[in-house]
Amino acid sequence: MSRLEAKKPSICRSDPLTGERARASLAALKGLVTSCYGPAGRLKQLHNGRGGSVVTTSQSAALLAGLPVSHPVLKVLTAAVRNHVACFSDGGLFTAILCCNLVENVQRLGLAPTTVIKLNKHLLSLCTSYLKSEGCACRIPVDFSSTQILLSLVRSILTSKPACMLIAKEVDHISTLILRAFLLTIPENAQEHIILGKSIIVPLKGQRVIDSAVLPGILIEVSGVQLMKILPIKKSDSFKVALFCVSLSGDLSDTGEGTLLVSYGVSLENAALDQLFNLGKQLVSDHVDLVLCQKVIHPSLKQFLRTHHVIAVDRIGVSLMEPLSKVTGTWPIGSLGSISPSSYGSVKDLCIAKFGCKHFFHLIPNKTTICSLLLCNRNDTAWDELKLTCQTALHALQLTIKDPYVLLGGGCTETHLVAYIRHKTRNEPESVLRDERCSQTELQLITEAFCSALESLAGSLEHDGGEILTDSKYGHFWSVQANLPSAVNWPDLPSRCGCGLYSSQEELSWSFLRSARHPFPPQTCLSREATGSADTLTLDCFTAKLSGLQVAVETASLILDLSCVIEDTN
Amino acid sequence: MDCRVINRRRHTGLQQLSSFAETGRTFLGPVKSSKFIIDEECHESVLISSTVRLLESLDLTSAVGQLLNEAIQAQNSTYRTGTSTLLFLVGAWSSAAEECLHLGVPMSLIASVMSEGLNSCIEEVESLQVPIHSVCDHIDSTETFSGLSVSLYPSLQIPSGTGLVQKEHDLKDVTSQSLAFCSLSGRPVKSPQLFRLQAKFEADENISRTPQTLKNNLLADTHCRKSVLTHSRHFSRTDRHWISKPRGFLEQLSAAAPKTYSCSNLAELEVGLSHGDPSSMRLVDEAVRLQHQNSGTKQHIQNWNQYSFVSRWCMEQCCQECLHLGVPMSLIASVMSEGLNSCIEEVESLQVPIHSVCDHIDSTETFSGLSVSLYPSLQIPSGTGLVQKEHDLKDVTSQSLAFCSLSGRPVKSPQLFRLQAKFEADENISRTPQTLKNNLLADTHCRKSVLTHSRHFSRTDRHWISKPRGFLEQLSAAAPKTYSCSNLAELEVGLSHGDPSSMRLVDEAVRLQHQNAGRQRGSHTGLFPFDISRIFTCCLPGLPDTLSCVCPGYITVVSMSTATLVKELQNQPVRVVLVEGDLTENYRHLGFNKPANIKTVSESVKVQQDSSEELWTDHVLQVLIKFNVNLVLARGNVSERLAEKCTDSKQLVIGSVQDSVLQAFAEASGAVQVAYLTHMNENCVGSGVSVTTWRSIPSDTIDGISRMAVVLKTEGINLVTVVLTSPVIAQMQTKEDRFWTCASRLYYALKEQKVFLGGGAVEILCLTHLQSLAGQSVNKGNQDCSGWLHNTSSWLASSAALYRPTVLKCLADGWHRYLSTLLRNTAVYSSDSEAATSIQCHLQNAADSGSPSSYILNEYSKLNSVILNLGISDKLEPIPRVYDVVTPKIEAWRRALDLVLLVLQTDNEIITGLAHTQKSSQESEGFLFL
Repeated sequence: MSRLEAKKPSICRSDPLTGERARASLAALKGLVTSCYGPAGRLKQLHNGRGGSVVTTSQSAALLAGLPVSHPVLKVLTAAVRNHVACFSDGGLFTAILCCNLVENVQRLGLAPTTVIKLNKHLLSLCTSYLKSEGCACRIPVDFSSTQILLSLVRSILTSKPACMLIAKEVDHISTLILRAFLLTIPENAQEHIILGKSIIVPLKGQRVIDSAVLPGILIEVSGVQLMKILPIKKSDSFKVALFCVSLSGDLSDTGEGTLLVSYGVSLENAALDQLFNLGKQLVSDHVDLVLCQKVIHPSLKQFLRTHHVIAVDRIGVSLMEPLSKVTGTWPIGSLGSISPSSYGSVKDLCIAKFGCKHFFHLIPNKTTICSLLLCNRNDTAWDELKLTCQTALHALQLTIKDPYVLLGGGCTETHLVAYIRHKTRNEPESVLRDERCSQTELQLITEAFCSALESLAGSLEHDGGEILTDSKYGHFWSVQANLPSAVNWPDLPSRCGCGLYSSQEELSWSFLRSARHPFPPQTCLSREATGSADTLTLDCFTAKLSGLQVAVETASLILDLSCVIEDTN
Repeated sequence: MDCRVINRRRHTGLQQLSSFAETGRTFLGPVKSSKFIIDEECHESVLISSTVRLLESLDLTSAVGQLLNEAIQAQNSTYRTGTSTLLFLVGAWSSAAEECLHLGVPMSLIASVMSEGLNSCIEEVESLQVPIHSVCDHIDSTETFSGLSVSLYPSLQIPSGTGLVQKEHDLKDVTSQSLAFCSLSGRPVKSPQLFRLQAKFEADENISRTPQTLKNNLLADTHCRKSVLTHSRHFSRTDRHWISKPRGFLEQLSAAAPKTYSCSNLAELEVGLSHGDPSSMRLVDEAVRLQHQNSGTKQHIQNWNQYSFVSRWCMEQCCQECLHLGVPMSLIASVMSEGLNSCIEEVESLQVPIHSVCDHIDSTETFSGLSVSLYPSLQIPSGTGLVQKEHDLKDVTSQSLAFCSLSGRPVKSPQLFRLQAKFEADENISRTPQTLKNNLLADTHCRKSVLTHSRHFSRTDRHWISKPRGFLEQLSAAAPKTYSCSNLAELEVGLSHGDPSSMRLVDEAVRLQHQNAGRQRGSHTGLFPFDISRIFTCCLPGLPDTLSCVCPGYITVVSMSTATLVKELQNQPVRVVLVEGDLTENYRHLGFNKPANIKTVSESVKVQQDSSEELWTDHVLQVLIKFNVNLVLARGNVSERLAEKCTDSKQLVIGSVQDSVLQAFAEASGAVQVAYLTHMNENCVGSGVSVTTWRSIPSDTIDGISRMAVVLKTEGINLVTVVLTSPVIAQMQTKEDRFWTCASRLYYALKEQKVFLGGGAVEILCLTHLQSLAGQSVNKGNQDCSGWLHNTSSWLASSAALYRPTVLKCLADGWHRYLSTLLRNTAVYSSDSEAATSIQCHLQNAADSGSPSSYILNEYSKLNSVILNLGISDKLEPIPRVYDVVTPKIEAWRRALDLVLLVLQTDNEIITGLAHTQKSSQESEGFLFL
């Protein structure tokens, strides 16, 4: 007998942001993401407290994935950030911190949400249009004829994740590998629409980072036992390949519900095996050289194939199926019936490679836009972090090809933007006031909240108690030791700004980042010489950062606009 | 979800790390103290003596504990060595990092400077790498150099008991041996001055030709066979080609030697026994029984029990003696057991005929000779020593005689005899057994002093070392980087790290594998890869240590019920089938899903009586009979019913066979592994496997069922089984671990073709280097910084100079702790302060010398031992040159520092999946909820 229970009524709470708990939760989340930010960021250990695996990370992707939040405001925020990370990989922490800062700053003002949202939107469009404009001084066009900028971009991404535990030499090695892997995915004769290939990251944990490598083609891991059974590979120009996505293990396909009665002496297994042998015979008569199967191949079929000099590799896994079908030009075979000759493909060469303690079956295709990045790191935690970072870097490179610009990193873009917005809203407020129909004070307040959100975002790069300065010429980010006597004439100034573009040799005047001062017009139009001279810049992915900025402002507006939360308690 | 701030005032993560690491402190260094871990709930206890086993037994559910476990497991699974170093350094450096935090160094700076400091050390210690020059190319020649490995562990500290007389005696020995060698080599004698020298020694000796003297003489000569080689090295300045040329002959000699242990020899031995004192007699008596047993009697079990009783009895005596002499407690266990082992190994030479399967007594002798030199006779029980020598007498005599008759050079032999006879005459005036015994004692005593004194000679006259390899004995700091190691035995001893018994097994395994590889390829050219995957260990708890051995082929344990079957199969080549899964009716390969809803219906009642398993068993049996297969090796389990039936129909079925073993049999016998016996065909069957009984195992040791060990092999099989035995069952695991550790060390050394100078040399260089770096930064100021903190435009880069000395000093303190613990654990020093003084002294000297690495190299070559021994002259035992593997060691350092820095930089611990409602208010203090 089933019992029906009446549904509980939904709980409706108004003003979800005003409560003490909401504020504390938001502050906790902000503290969490802020402390992770930048190359000196602190790490977080995520575990279940019962002996599960421990994740040590400072990346938003790993952090937010393992962070089940309960408060609805935080849910909105983390969902937005995770969505951004899913699309752009980079800039997750940037988005989360900026969003938290904005919410916190605006909340303090107590203005009507509609005004805030309107003005925030306006300020955002001010930023984006500046960043996209030719005169933008914190954007560098990418010169694809040299690797310098691309390498700097990759290196900046790698060094911003301390949990990868890389030393300088290893950073250089890995960034070169990432760039090489990326270049291997670009087709040689590009037409109008470039379809980028794929870099597959192959894990090799426990080895030295310096042993990592990039290889064209696909690496399929095979166990030592399986490897010994693979025949010596004969020399040939081309190998005919059959790729199966159906299991060849000889088990019976779904027998459905109920009982199947089989009369004595009839063996279903043998029948299935006979079918497999028929398939094998067809493969042999079609002169297939290599049979690849996503799932398991029956050992007897394998043996049959081997006696007919066909190499069989099984248990490839679903993740490799798509790249395999792409490089070999096959269409995965999904039935045990007869195979149409058109579904066979080919590869140029095969070999067996050993890296560390693992054996790999190395497929080299004819036209390759697929490569394998063999990634090593000493322990699992650091490997996981390094893998995520490499994926981020590869993604950033792809985005850079689409939009060939990079932004200055190390906090310089943020401080420069702040200077630009302050100057713009102070000197040309008329258009805003006319368009958005708000008072001068409101505009000033919101601009200040917006700018200080960006400033404290830049300030989050500092974790060891240093001071942050900004210069009044470029509006860049400078880091100095705390408790220095005077703010005007430091004898021993920081040698370079955050992104590394400018040096303190120039006659610059500095002020503390969050101190009150007159708005100044930051120098626009980046000179070519400046970008060429500095060899190692700290750079950020343009597309990802731009999107992060938009997501942060829009999410903050959304959160500020929340007036009531309706929770279904059933 | 909640999150805990773990970094308020004191860094709890670092504290946890140091407390975990403290538990493994005693595992550092060659002398390891075992630990008992007792489970309070079920009162089970485990005996452990390695870091990996320790962590397996600890509760490491905390996040930091898990990271530590992960790091150690990763090191262990990749390198199988270096885990103790890792654990210790984790502790030392987490304390160092904590100290830095206390001193107010910014966290990011600690991480950055420590990491760079370690890298700088790693670059610095490259100067202490010793290249290994194709050690395996000359495996065979090193074999004949059994004495060389002994001589390579020289001692500057000559035992005070040996005086000038011995030296003189030794000189004679040397001369006559060299002569003997020259004449034995079958080449024209090239150094007439040797003869002159010999003649001079002979002048005052009466010539006597009684058989007894002759025999004794020969004994003295062959007795020092090892030394011959040593000393001919000495002479080799003038003439070096003998090394390669007479090799064949010496091999012949050594091959001949074992065969001369015969019954007549046994009789002689028993005559000799009547003069021995009771204790010696007992041991010899036991040895005789052993041999008797080996020649075919059936009293195995009883004998072994008694044998181990004798061992225990010896051990007790040793311990007492040692305690009286005031030997440090921690040394007693290892030295005593080694001393005893060497005794037992000596006694075991009587058993040579059994081992004729292996044919590698030579290398064993190499090692036993070595362990004698490692653990000087002072600690060998007097009784056993005496007996050994007497026993040696006969062995050696007969060996020499055998040699004479085998050499086929009658012209040379009489000459040798004459020289020998003259030489010994002055010593053997009376032929009473007592004198004979004394004489022998003196002689064997000299065998050791030979080694010692050969060092002595080489000090005045070193070019025999420095010439071929450019040794750095020149003491000039200019060319200190010419250390090299081109001798396998030397390398092995250096890598044994206080575990000669395991290394002896590894040595044998390598040699077996090398021989096999040579046989396969027909030549020894090219790089010989030491394939660790083709070494298999077979643990037989309950048997005495002395039974540990290395054999080609596969040794496994089968039930006694197959004894008659094994006997029947023994004298014929057997056909084999290899099964890659279970051998049961229900087994299906991985990935096969058996539908549960299929039911077989049948029309007649009769067939239903046969269960499907019976049908299957019958089918399998038919297949086996059809293909005339008598041996089935299966990777998984074997159905008991099938095994029984197979035994009845003369088929031996062995389950749970390792992959590598199956593969080795597949390669050697031509068999193909099959998943189902019912699907096999003629092509899958391999042939030519021989099955022999190895020995039976006493029934009371393994769960009451009597079993026996069998050897399976085929012609040219690339598989070596290392049989590990231990009378103490709790030690079995430790023994196996230790064997694999030694094997991996050698594997990595051979693979990388380079080793580090060990014994603390590398660490002390790191310490010196860090200290000088810390000093430099004060003087140099800011200039280095940009190079240190790469690409950082943060203020940290410019203020690094301020903090760097502090951080580097803390890092160096970690090395200091490591070194002093190493010294204390090896019982070189009894207190930390003593150790610290010694380290400090070296640091000062190194700093003063201007070039720390050449200072250390010089110290090392002077001392040829643990570097920090210098200045402590009351330690008598000569310690051989110690080596260490390069990459595993450096990786252990890096892993340790990585772990410490990971934990250091962690400020929040996020615990997922715990509903905060479950926590009491007290518990949730310090937690933040999201």
